[in-house]
Amino acid sequence: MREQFSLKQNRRAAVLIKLETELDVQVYVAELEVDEGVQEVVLHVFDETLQNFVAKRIALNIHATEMPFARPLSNERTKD
Amino acid sequence: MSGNHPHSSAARRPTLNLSAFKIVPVKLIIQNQTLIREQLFGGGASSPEVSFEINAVSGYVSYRHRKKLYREGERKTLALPPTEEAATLAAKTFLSERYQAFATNQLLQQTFANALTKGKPLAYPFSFSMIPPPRWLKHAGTYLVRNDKHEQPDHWLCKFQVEIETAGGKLPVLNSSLDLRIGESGGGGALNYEVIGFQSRWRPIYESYRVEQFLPDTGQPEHDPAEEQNGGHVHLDEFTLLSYLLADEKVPQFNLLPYEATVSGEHHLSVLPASKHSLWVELNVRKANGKYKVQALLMGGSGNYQAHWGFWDPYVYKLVGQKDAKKKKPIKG
Repeated sequence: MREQFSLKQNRRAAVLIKLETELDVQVYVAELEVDEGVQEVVLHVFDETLQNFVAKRIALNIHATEMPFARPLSNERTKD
Repeated sequence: MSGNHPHSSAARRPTLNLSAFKIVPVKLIIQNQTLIREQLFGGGASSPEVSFEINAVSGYVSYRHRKKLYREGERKTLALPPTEEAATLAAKTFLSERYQAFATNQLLQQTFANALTKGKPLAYPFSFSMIPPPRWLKHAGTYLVRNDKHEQPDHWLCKFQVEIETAGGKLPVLNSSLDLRIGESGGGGALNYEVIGFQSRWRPIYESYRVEQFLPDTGQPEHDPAEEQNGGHVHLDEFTLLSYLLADEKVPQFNLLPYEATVSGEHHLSVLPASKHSLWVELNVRKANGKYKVQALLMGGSGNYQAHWGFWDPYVYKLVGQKDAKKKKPIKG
């Protein structure tokens, strides 16, 4: 029987810094630094006043063959 | 940094009256999925021969008849609609009839009105329906699909997009789609075809409200009609369109909001919020010294945010049924 994997999502608070703009608009930036092995990053934003939510996801450059679950697995292999 | 920075698109344009829409909570849809399934596909939808799913995050519907879609055996006499026009008509008829079935179902309308508007009746165009009003549907194409195994025609695929009627005219909903697969019916009768596959990317809405414009003096590429007539500064390959935007299948969404979508060239789409309610995030990635630096630009909103990053490391995983995550060494290729 093949074992199934579930990726654990890491979460980190996003620090939003407001940009100065010539126009009266809300523009913020946030940065995140992650290791090369990370597969995908998402930013979740909830606007408490407007009760709005937005999420943006981006895939990072990773070779599928490097992923431990991307190839057929036997029970022996997962016991490493 | 992306070309979506507000400074980069400064131009004059008139003030717009913008509408936004409240989206029916998916939780309410899931609670009523048995009734919804019956309205869409009748009692047969509970048969083991069909699969019917409503995505728990987006509410997008997926339906397929396992035996009739991509039939195993070759049959040269499959009774499909004979022409593209006949298939399109069959799809439009299905969508119109299903919309009416929802709109005239008093139990369903009352259930959703009680939950959403304190009992105030949901009236056109906001009667609860998993199918948008037929006038909002734009036919995007009909194609004959062949079975890969034996190359015989299997079904017709009819594609539709949603365009919402607003005071300013019909506006497209980006990422919306309703795909119907019309195949042969096993039931006989006057109509010998049926919907054997259905995939919707649409979130039902129930109320509209006004929203304030995000950038009163910006938003479109500069156009000077006089200059354009003289063959001057013309962006033939670029146009900006006021649009609504649906989030991806796995992203919660509470409101349908206006955005300005600029299409340039054949493939490039950039988006700006058209209202202060229309949150928008652009992500940019740089790689240096074995690390990724992800930079987010957030536009719109009140400024009163809760925000967090999420990321997945393929070497930190857990086996299903196991409590603690394991760290596994990268496999060198």
